[in-house]
Order: sequence, then structure tokens, then C-alpha cells
Amino acid sequence: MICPYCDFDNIPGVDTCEQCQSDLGDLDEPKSGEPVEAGLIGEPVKRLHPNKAIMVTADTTIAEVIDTLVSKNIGCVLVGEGGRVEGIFSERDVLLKISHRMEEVASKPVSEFMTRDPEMLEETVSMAFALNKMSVGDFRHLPLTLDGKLEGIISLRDFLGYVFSWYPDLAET
Amino acid sequence: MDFRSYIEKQQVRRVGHRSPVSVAPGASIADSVKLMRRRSVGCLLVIENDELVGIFTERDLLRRVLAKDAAASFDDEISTVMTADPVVARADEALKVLLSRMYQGGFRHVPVLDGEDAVLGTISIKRVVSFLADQFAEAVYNLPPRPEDFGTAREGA
Repeated sequence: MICPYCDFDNIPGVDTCEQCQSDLGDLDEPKSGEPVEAGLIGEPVKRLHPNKAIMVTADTTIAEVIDTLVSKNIGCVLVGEGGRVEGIFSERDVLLKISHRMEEVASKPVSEFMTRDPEMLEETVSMAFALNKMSVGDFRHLPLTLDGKLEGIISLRDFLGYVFSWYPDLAET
Repeated sequence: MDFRSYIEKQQVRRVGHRSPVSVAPGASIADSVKLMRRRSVGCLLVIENDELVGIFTERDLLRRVLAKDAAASFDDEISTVMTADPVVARADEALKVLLSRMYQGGFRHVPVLDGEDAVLGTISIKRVVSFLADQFAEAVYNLPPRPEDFGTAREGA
């Protein structure tokens, strides 16, 4: 492990830095029971201030969806109607499914390319649970519901926002 | 140490990076996007003479190539649609610097350089958030699969 005091690259697991003798014993991981961690477990994911989810209907064309992603400056749209979500379509889908044949598919409906039945969570579950879901499922975005009805959407960036909500002074560059 | 000191003292290298997937500035947009698809990466580094000159992401593909009013064609050079001189992080900088650049800039990828400006790779926000989740492993990973199934009322009797 790298000593944070002198940058010396020690073998993993040592308790003192071989070069400067600083105590490395408690550096490996943060103590548990910290407020930032307690908040993750105890507070609902709603605390991340979810963004309003942008919804398009299943027959919206790929060209229109791309316009929406660009003009609204968002990374994904939900596909469905009246609070019912049928699918999700993201920038990643544009790269993998669209980018090599834009002309051919521009007028096709988004429903042909979306990911069906995306994972969603009730906004009352803990932040830790949502973080687990996103981390394990490899999701960038996660739609949130209240009593089964779409309420908003969170992204990975919102978790950085959570960290900085504890230490606003660190957010400056 | 508390979490605040942790992100102030630990270095960016601690997060680990993905080795760079890169093209030369003269590469065509078509070839570059093909490489992104093949390697399944959201971000390409544009490198000339071992020096980072730009970055090209999924977002740039949307805004500058596929959007209705985008002027670029797939035969154009990647240098015409890349973001030149991107925001970077150094491997020996404090973790908080990386977090804050990513958060403030809304970047999903940040290139990582060593002290001599050599390109080491990229760090994605996915990697950063997973890294943070690992620091709270007990809180994040030791959870019942469906918390709503574990009510507060006692069952039976």
C-alpha cells in the first residue's frame, strides 16, 4: 500500500510505513459507524433528490429520441405511457445498437432497441440498497417509484453529490 | 480514519484505472466508434506522440455526430469532434480532487496521468462509485435482498 505521508510503496498489510515509520494501521478502510455511512443505511434514496424522468412513447423514432437526449442533456429516456414504464434507452444503447447504422434505423421506433422492463426501486428504500442495486447490476441510472408509480430517476453522479453534501467545502476544485 | 480524511489522504491511484483505449487524432470517426463498440467502452483517448490531446465519449458521439444539426460525417477525423485538452487527474493527487472534478464537471470518465504526463488510463464514475461502495461494504453489500420483506412487526404469537 502507498503511504499517504511519504508516497512509499509498502507491501500490502504492513502496519507502519517502511520508509517514514508512519502508522498505517487504520488507513486501509474508513471506520464504520460514520454519519456518511449511517445515512446510507438509514435514509431513503429519495434523499438524493431524484431528477424528473423523461418519458417517451414506444413509437417515438430513434432520431427523435436522440434529439431528446441531446436537447435535454440527459443520458437516458424511459419508454412508456402514463406512469407505466416499458423500457429504458440510454446513450450506451446508441453506441452499441445504433451508431453503425444510424441512417437505416433513424425512423424506427425506440421500442425495437430499448431494454425492456428495467429494474426500478421504491423511493423509500435506503440509499445503501439503491447503491447495491446499481453497483451489482452495473446500472448508470435507476428509476424510482412511489406506490408503483414513476417518481423520478437517479444516476451514479447523485451518489457523489451525497458524499459532497457532507463535505461541501471539498467540492471545490 | 474518518471518511473525510480518507478521501483527502488517499491517492487517485488507489481507485485503479482501466487501461487506455486510444486512437490517433487522424483516425476516422467511423473507425473510432467501431473501436468503442468492439471494446465496449464509453470513452476513447486521443493520443499523439504519447501525449493526451483529447477525449471522445458517447456523449460527443450523440451531440457532434448523430444529432440532427451535427455537421460531422463518419469519414471526418476524430480530432474534429473530440473534446480537446480534457480535464484529467494525476495518479498521485488526492481522491477528493478526482471526486470533485467528476462531480462538478458531470464527467463520466476522467483520464489519469502519471507525474510525467504519461497516460495511464481512464477512471469511470462507475468505478469510482463502486470503489466508494466498497469502503462501506458492510452497509452496502450485507443487505437483505428485499428490505420491504423484513417488516418491523413480529410475526405469529
